[in-house]
Amino acid sequence: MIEKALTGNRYYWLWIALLLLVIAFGISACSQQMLLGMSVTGLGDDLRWGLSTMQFTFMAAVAASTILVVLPCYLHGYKPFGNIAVIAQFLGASASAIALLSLFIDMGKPQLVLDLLRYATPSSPYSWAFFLLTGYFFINLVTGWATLGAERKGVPAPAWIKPVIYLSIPWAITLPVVTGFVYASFPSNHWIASLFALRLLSSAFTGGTALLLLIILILKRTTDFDAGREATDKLVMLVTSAGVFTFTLTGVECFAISEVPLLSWLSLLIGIASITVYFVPAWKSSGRWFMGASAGVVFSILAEKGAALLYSSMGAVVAYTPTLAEVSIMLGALALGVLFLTILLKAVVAVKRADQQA
Amino acid sequence: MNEERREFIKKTSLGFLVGIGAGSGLFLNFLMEKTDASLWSDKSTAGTIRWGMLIDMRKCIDGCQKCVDACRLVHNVPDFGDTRYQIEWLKKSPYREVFPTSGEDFMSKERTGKSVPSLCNHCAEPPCAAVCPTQATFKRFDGIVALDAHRCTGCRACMASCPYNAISFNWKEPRPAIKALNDLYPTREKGVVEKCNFCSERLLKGKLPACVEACPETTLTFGDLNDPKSAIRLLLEKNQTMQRKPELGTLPSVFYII
Repeated sequence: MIEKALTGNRYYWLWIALLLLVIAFGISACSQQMLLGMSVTGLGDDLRWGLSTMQFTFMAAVAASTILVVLPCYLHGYKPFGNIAVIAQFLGASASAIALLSLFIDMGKPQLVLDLLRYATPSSPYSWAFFLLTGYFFINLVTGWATLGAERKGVPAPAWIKPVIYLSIPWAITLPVVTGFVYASFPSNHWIASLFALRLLSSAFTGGTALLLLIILILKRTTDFDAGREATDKLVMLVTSAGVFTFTLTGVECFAISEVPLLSWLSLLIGIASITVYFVPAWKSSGRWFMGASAGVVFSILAEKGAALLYSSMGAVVAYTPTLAEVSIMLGALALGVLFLTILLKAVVAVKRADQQA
Repeated sequence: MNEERREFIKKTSLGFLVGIGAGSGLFLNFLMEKTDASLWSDKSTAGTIRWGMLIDMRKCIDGCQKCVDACRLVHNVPDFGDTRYQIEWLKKSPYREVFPTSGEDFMSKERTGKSVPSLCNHCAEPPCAAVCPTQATFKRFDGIVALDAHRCTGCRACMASCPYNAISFNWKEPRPAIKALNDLYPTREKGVVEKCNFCSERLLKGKLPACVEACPETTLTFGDLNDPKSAIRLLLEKNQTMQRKPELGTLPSVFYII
């Protein structure tokens, strides 16, 4: 099926070339970081974690959110999601890969990355995050690929994938919880720390599902794949419900803590504005507004993850300007994951097309 | 034919993987440096020693940097001259930074105006050791929170969790920034964290920590917190002392008389 990724129109190849270019920039910046140390980033003694950690938590959240499609599809037999379940699984695998890459490029000594498995420590949320993301990557990749392969041959999916998919459901829920614990270990985040696991769980379902919506919209515009009206409407419902919880919790933080980064307010305002678009039927049916709102939710959740990092160990809000090298490295990791997702989705679209023709 | 080829590829790759696995098992210690465990064999068992320090600010001279300088020299701590990349095992900072949650309302300037030495608290409940994903930061049998720079992956989870800002990261190559090289202690490399080790290498030889020795007054008292007759315990008994951010439950082993 992978050979489907080798054929495509001009826009497809332009997209691949763009991704490869971003990856090349990332690799070049990464080599600079290896040479000069982490001082090429905008981080320092006041701010230990920045862009990469933001991407890591966000992508862990995206990976987790895919069970909102997988669970109704496999546990409740909800038919409209049958079409996008594979997309969700591949998004889960790619997002896990990006999250792992983001952790990897943020390490002072990335050559020791496998020590994270070798010396895995149960008391360390970071250790759990690494282990769970690695597992989630393989679970989603294997189940997604097996489902798609069976679909292509027109045979029922092999029996062994059912238990693996059931395993992926609790597995997914643990992802935002452990990343929440990584954040909660900051001594400076006050009482709000106890809310982190909960907040990240709810914001995962908001931001991740919005990203899935965006991907489906893009696929609809660029290919002949259509997820169907019912599936899209259901996803919007999920984003809206989860969004209401998430932005309440973000709001609690903004109002309860005396000094919050500007980014928290930005996340709150853009989030609420985007969710409002979903509530108004006239705006919702407009393609442009709808896409804008989905992108707004994604940005809002990304900003939420970033804002939570902007505290020094003494609790003060820290000014942070990411460097060009840091941005290149982060985008390089993102592009690598997106390239992986593009190749997988190419196979999905080809198989679905063949299905429709048959 | 196709089926056979598939089988062949399967079996060869499996054999290859098994070979790598067996190889890495056989040569596990190939690159590791040998440690002489006999030095430790007659040392006390867990829980019987808990090293601690008492900092008596009544005796500390404002502007004196002797303890800080001694620490830098003994441990090859680099000096970048830039707060953003600075590496500090022991530093002197304003009262407000050392005790941000203790409050200074209506306190005399004489007490709050001095800069206070701060170092790793060697907590009895160290959050840094709990969050370290590779156990590179760990609590020793004698209460010292130690750090294995060889095992450190540079993830900085310990820095993020330390409420005392006691851990520094090597954002740059540290060796060029070392002012005077001490051959008796190893240097670190870029990409790992480092912090105060309570001079465990000197304790091993029966010496006091370098900062304690360098102090011209008797500001710093070092000793076993588990020994009721030790000097530090006697001082703790007689004086009103405080710890940094005690509300977090980390149980610091460093005490202050302000």
